[in-house]
Amino acid sequence: MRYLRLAVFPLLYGAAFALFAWWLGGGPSLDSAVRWQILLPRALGAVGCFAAFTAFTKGDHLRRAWLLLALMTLGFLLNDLRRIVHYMRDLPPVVDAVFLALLVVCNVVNVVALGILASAWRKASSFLRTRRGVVVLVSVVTAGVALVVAGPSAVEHYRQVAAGNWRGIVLMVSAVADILALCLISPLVLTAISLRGGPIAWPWGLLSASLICWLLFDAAAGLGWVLGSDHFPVTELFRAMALTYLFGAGLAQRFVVMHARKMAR
Amino acid sequence: MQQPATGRGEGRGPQAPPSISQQVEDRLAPCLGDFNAKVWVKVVASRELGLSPEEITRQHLEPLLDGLRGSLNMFLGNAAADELCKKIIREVR
Repeated sequence: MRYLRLAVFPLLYGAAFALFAWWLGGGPSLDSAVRWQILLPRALGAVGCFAAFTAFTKGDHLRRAWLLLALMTLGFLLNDLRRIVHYMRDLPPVVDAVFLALLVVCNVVNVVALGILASAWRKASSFLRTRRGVVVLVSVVTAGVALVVAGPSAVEHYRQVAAGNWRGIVLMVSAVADILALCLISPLVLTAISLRGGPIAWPWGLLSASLICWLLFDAAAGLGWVLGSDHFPVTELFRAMALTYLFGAGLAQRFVVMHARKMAR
Repeated sequence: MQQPATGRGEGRGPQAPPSISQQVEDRLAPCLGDFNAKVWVKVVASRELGLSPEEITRQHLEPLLDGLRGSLNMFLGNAAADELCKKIIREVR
């Protein structure tokens, strides 16, 4: 039941966010609210990842992945705070440069962490209950969608960097990291499918949901999705849901490990 | 006049004790789910021991758990996996 609550929470958060955004009705008040509200899901995401990290012991394979995800989320949280401060007053150029470097590192760390998690697929695949055709189909579809969604942005930012705009390097690295991260959806989804029917599937399912929300975030950003004349922030909705699903995945991972220890006593 | 059976198992005589594989599955099920526990034991028994789950005896228990340990370590962590394996060795007869 508590796993189900973790799965429903991001939907409720998304619904509450959507209602609040509609109630504000666009304009500067919505911009300001969007800028501040991201701090909550970002902090929740970091808390969830740290909860999963501390459930494991030294040497555990997944421990490192959850630590990296937690640090990556904290890095982005710091950047959100910088954006809020920057909105109110100008920051020295050196601060911007430090945060540009931090964002590059965070994007790389995200891909490494997801790569470690995705490597669990090799273990899960030995108990595979998924047809080979499904594996190939899911892998090809996610790689194709990742390229379609984040590919144009990567090419555009590469052109900016090639033209001498070095600030574009962050966005280029971010777009390439997005493509790699989105490609890693398939091993996570397949792990969740292979483990279905037991509590251990939940962290993988919720992590997959988080990545699917990031995919929708990238799609919304790339296509410039807006709803209505007041420019409802669809991207921010998906970002908030991705982070609250990450929170759920981290807590579910902790519950699974703690439950196993309790059962073993 | 013969009385009709009123409950599960009544009138069938004494039940056979659960097999070793069944006992292992029962202890894995709360963490992995019933179906996963069955599949994991079946796959490891076949791959590591070349046996079907029904053929597993007490002497196969440690090699069976060694085969399961890698995946249990991966998904539950080393501490939980070790405690679970110790519990199984302690309790399965």
